[in-house]
Amino acid sequence: MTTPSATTRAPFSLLEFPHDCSHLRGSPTMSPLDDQLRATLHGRATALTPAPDPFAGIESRARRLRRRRGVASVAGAALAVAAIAVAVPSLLPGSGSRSPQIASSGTSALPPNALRQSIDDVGTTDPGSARQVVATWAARHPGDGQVYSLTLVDGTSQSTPPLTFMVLEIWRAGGPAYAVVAQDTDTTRPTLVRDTVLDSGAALINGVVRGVGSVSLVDSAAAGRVARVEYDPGDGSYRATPPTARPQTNGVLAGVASRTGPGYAPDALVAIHKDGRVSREDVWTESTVRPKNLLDWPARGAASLGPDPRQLLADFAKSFNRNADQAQYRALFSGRSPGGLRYTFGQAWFSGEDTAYAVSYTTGGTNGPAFFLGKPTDPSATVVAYAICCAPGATTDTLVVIPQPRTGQVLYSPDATGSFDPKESLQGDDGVVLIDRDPRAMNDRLTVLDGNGDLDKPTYQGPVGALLCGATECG
Amino acid sequence: MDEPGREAFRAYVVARSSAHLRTAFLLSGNRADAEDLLQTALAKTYLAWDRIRDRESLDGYVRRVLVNTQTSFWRRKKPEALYDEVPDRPGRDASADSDLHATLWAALAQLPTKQRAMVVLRYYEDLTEADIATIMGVSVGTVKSTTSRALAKLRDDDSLRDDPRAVLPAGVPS
Repeated sequence: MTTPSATTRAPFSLLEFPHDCSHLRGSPTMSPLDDQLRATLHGRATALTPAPDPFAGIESRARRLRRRRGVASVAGAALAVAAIAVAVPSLLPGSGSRSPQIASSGTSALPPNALRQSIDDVGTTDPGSARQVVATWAARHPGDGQVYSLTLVDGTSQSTPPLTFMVLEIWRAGGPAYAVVAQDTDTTRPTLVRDTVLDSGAALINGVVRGVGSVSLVDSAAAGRVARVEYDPGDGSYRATPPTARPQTNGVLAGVASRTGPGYAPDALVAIHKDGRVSREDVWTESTVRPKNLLDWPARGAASLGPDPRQLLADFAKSFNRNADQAQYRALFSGRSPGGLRYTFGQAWFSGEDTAYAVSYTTGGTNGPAFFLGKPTDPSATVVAYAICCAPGATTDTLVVIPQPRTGQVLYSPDATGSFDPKESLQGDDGVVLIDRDPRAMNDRLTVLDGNGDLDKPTYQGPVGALLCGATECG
Repeated sequence: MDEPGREAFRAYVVARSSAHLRTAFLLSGNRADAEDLLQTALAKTYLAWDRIRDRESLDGYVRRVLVNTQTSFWRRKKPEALYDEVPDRPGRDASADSDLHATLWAALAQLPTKQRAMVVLRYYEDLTEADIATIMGVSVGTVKSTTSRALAKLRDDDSLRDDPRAVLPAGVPS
């Protein structure tokens, strides 16, 4: 390193590197170090002579890159499938080794919980960057046994910008196989976005790779017995999506699906097996730890008709003076009213925490966007409800009643003494009922029958107000 | 890519590669790696060319690919071993200020790749913290804290610690 000479220093002058700093944004005060950095960087950069033929070699390198990428472009789902390295068993002798040796092939029986049941057809390609992933894993799982890995997917997404990732199985001799998803994010080592013991009988391994801004991809590697993989956003919009994966030369079905936005949970991958069976696996993230009171009900309505939930997440986080990046939301019902109100109702929580709160968000009303924060949801609830107000020109509110799936009819009484009238549920939404409600109603009541319609055994009977509890009061 | 697209891409490369090479050089620290980094970034841009609708944002796209490629763990060379001693601009007096710049340049080489990238984006590209956050896929808070750590490391650098010009607060005459 060059060191400055104390005897030859002259006063530093910015005049030799003229640059106007007044246009700089986000830095109200400049220090000498700022200026010196700027001058140093500009001085070094401008001393560089341009390349004689900058175009030379770009196309051939692009062809090489293209060969690395297996591109799938399927309409309807933003997805891409990455280039694949042939599944390779690699051997890491002992823990903490920085230079694992590569086994020739088939040197270790796979653990019983491994995704791949046979490695007889495994090639001997050098897994290259897998070594760093394996070394990182070995450091996290110290032990005496030798470490083996099987690279299932090694690729780059077609997103902008591209994201590089790997899906592997890694194990120590005699131990269980771990599902490992690695992302290229760090300067010195990969980030293991997933590192968990693989469930026996799992059909696929998935993990979430986070990219720039809101880009968030679900990477997956499915066993050869799986014919097709689809992505279910978990917001009620899933019907049947185009496949998000395609077979690779190593027999693994590899794919990347774009998550549809932050806060949607629990989304899942749906595997359609070659024998016709269908299995689901939740998209795995660190926040897969679910609140204890999260209702295991399907998302009903139509998420595409509801408002963008990102503002809901922002308002929810703001209510607790927290960062919206930590907030998650799962819709129970979303839709749009004939008057143009867009609404969504569900549960919101912070990643890794136990408690989910009832929340709703409405846009298009006369009072502008409206966020509602309710109490923590009762985990044994048989019905939840919320009221939508302030549609332009409307004189009544809309009471949205969302019963537990497969319960019976909903009956409503507008006051404390009147009779209950049965209400028609929305077609295709498994019991959800919309009721015109007087904004001044205080004593209206609700009855939800059980699945057999037995009047003597309602799953809920009580005041509507008890279901409309805000953070501090009900009604 | 069709022929008109290829020509458009070529024209872009000819027009902008010098500027991007400078950024690549500051990110990587030496000419050879800078050329390699730039070629990789431009090859990726070539592959994405037909999908980039907003041609006004091409510079931003290339810059993003440069940074992300450079910070990739797959590029696992040691930065401190790679920094070039590029001569300062011809005609400049290699006296005190260039000594200081050489010291700063060497200190920059010791920064972790992401810290260095943020410094380059902030102090060479003059990007806002929000723009840097978008490019690097992190929060604005992370940009602030990482840049702050980078500057603190520079201030703590043995060679710079003894130089009052590198640490004096703004407004204090040296």
